[in-house]
Amino acid sequence: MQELVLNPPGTTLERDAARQAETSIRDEFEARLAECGPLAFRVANGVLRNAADAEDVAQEALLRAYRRFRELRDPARFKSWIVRIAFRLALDRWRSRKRRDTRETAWSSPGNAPATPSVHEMAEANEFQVRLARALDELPEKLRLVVILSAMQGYTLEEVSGLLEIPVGTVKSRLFLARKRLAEKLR
Amino acid sequence: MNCQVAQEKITEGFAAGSAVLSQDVRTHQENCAKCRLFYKQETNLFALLDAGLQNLANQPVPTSLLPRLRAALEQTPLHHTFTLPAWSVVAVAATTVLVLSLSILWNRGQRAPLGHERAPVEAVVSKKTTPKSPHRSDARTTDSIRLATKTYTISPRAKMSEPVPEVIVAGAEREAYTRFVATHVGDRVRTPMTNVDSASAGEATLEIASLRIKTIEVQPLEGTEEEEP
Repeated sequence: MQELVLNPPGTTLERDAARQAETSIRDEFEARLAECGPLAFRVANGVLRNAADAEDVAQEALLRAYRRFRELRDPARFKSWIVRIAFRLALDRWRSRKRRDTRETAWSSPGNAPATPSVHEMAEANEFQVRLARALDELPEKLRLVVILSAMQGYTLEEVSGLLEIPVGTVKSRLFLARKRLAEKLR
Repeated sequence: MNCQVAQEKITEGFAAGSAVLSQDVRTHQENCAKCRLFYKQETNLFALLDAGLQNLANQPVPTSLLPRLRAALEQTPLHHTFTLPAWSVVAVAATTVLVLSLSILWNRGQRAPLGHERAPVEAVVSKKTTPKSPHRSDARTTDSIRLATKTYTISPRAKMSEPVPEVIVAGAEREAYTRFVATHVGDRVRTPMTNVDSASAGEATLEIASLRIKTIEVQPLEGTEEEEP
């Protein structure tokens, strides 16, 4: 006699299938991690100039991408997607840090203010690098991202244009404008 | 070519990533020591700029980054949740507001004719409460009878499709009419009382079929001022 077994929804078979799908997505994502993790970190570090913060941002960006990885229609766009997420998150963090610094500077009494760097520390810091970082902060977002990506080793202008999904000519004109403005500020 | 134009061209050349000068700038530079110095300064500046940018953009990636990311991924479940995009919430809210406002407008549009039909009855009632006639007692009497008559004549003939006018009738009056209708069905209701002569209003005898009403005393309500005739 044949036994009839009714499987209610959400049974072991369905759960196994879901688990398998999840595993395959995770494997696919992890294959991209080795390349995109450092990329997200560098983009974030280019904005924040702080390794710890950039690491946090890179993690957040990749986790966001992972959660919505299923929605990505074109896998070829994954890198540009990661770059945009990381840049946005880094900018958000940079802005909040800037606001916090401004608030603390405005409200803190001189007694509570952080100690000024010593002469030795001042000598250690590269003055030009500090000025360059400030000038970079003053650049518009579009120009800043192009400068950061173009300065990364291993990325040609064509690759930058692919990452940002803009024409190469636009990348060149933005880079030209950015370098000109930076030079004016550093002169 | 003057120095300002030559220096702008030098800067633009470097900004574009090319140190090659055009022929006219080179000719100018050969004869101008100031522009030669500027060229040297710009060469140094852009060299520093490129080095600084490369230093900024190519910071060593911490070795802890990838293990940290993998650990974070392990802890992040990949749910099959359906998430609505942010704009859809706004769209739903806007549609709801639109539908609500349209339904309110529609209801108002349908209520308007009812209010129009109710107007005459309301006019009668308002006439009763605020009499403008110099002979208020007569007006009250005739108004109340008119109200009652209207109830008697309209209600039986009212079709289902026609809106029935609302008439405010006191409980005692309603009972009296029920009795009246029960006893005198078929009798013709004479309504000369609507045209009662105001001169004989004090002791008017109103006749409704076989019902005789003698000596109607109408007193003003407390707190209302009597009008001068």
